[in-house]
Amino acid sequence: MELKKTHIYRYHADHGNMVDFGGYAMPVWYEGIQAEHKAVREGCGIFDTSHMGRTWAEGPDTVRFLNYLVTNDVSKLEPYGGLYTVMCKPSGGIVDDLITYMFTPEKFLVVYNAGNRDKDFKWMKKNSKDFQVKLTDVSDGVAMIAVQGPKAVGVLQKITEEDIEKIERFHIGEVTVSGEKCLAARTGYTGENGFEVFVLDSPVDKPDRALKVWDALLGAGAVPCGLGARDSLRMEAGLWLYGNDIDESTNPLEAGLRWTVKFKKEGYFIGQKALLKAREDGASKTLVGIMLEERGIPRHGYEVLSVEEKELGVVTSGGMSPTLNVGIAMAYLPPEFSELGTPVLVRIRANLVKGKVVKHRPFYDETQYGWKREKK
Amino acid sequence: MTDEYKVEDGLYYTKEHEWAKKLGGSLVAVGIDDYAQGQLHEIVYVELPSVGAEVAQGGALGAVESVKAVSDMYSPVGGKVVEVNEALLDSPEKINEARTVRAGSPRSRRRA
Repeated sequence: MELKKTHIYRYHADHGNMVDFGGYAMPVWYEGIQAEHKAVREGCGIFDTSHMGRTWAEGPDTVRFLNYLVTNDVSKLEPYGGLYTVMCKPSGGIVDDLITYMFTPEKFLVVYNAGNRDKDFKWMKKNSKDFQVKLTDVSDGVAMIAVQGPKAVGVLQKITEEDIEKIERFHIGEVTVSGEKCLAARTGYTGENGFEVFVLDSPVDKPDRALKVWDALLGAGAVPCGLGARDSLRMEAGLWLYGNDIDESTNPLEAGLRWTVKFKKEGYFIGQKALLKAREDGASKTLVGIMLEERGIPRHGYEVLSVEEKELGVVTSGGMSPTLNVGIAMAYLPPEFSELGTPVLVRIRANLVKGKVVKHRPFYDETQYGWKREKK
Repeated sequence: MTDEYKVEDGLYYTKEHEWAKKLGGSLVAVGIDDYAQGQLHEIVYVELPSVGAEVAQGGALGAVESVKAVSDMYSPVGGKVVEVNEALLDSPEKINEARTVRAGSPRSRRRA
């Protein structure tokens, strides 16, 4: 099957090292993962995220529908506010994690994972039957570019007419970037300050406007970054990757996403009953961060053991942290092994490598890295 | 990335992109080739065998890892490891920087 292309494909094909990511031809890196990772932690990097899913939900029942669909409380949003949440199966298993932005009480944008585009749209459609809500998948008609890093605001401001500093974290605004009508959300998947820019009215088969914004960002000093750096950055920030760290067999309570589940909100939401039961029963596993204390790179699927060499779980995401220069991982462990400082072992080929459970959202020191750090 | 790879005289290459070179007596140096380092791109970790370890021909000799991938190393010859290029443990990026096979590759000498 031929790989699908995003709006920015023309640039990727000329400059990137391409891979198949969920059926999309995407760049894994341009110059190198480590340099791109560093650019985002220290300066400004841009990512093509046009492969992600974007759907407009419109109509008088939009708030009621979304509150039935997702675990978080959408009714608390005000215009131009955004909310991170998950949507679950009746079993409590996670269908996907997503961000939804309110424009008016009757118009929301829903942004979800690339690999789940078809599944999520079908799931939303199926569960919208009893509501007066119209769902429009605009993934192919809107391009999406993440502008991330401590210098991201400055870079984007250079080519944007409006004052983007006014857009607060987890909020969205209507802006004009390089002369093109866009939305800019103060969100991202790197742990850093920055925006996700949606280039409106930009069909994937006529991507000139999206490419114009991409080129303008490069011209303003942004470093193009591929999926390799996107993965290492989100891992350092302790952010979940759907398919690795969360999926339909995990629930938000054990995934460290308890804060996205609002049991007391108005009305029933899909999965509520199962999640209430899971809360009463107590979790049998919990997602933790592990930092290695010896050389080695923990990777997806590697076994995690107690110091007595009893099998505890497997690594869901892992790698070498370019910022910390040490192996980091996430894994589901029994709750009694989730306390910070608990020593564990990771089986890396023939070796058992020592590590310990650490704070992992994020793994790095927040006074030095990430959006909370003091402005330089 | 380049499509040209260094191939040195006096080195015997395997299909798995390892090489062996006779050093005199029963000593043989082994390592990975330029193609392997180029494919891995950014090498961030090297696992070398212990000195004294017995390795069969085609047996596991350790691994080379980039940010994204793990590549197992297999020994082109059988024997006993008598020396490893320990500098690579602290500076695995030297494998990429050197590009040339000998300077940049793990070098374990063994009795053939």
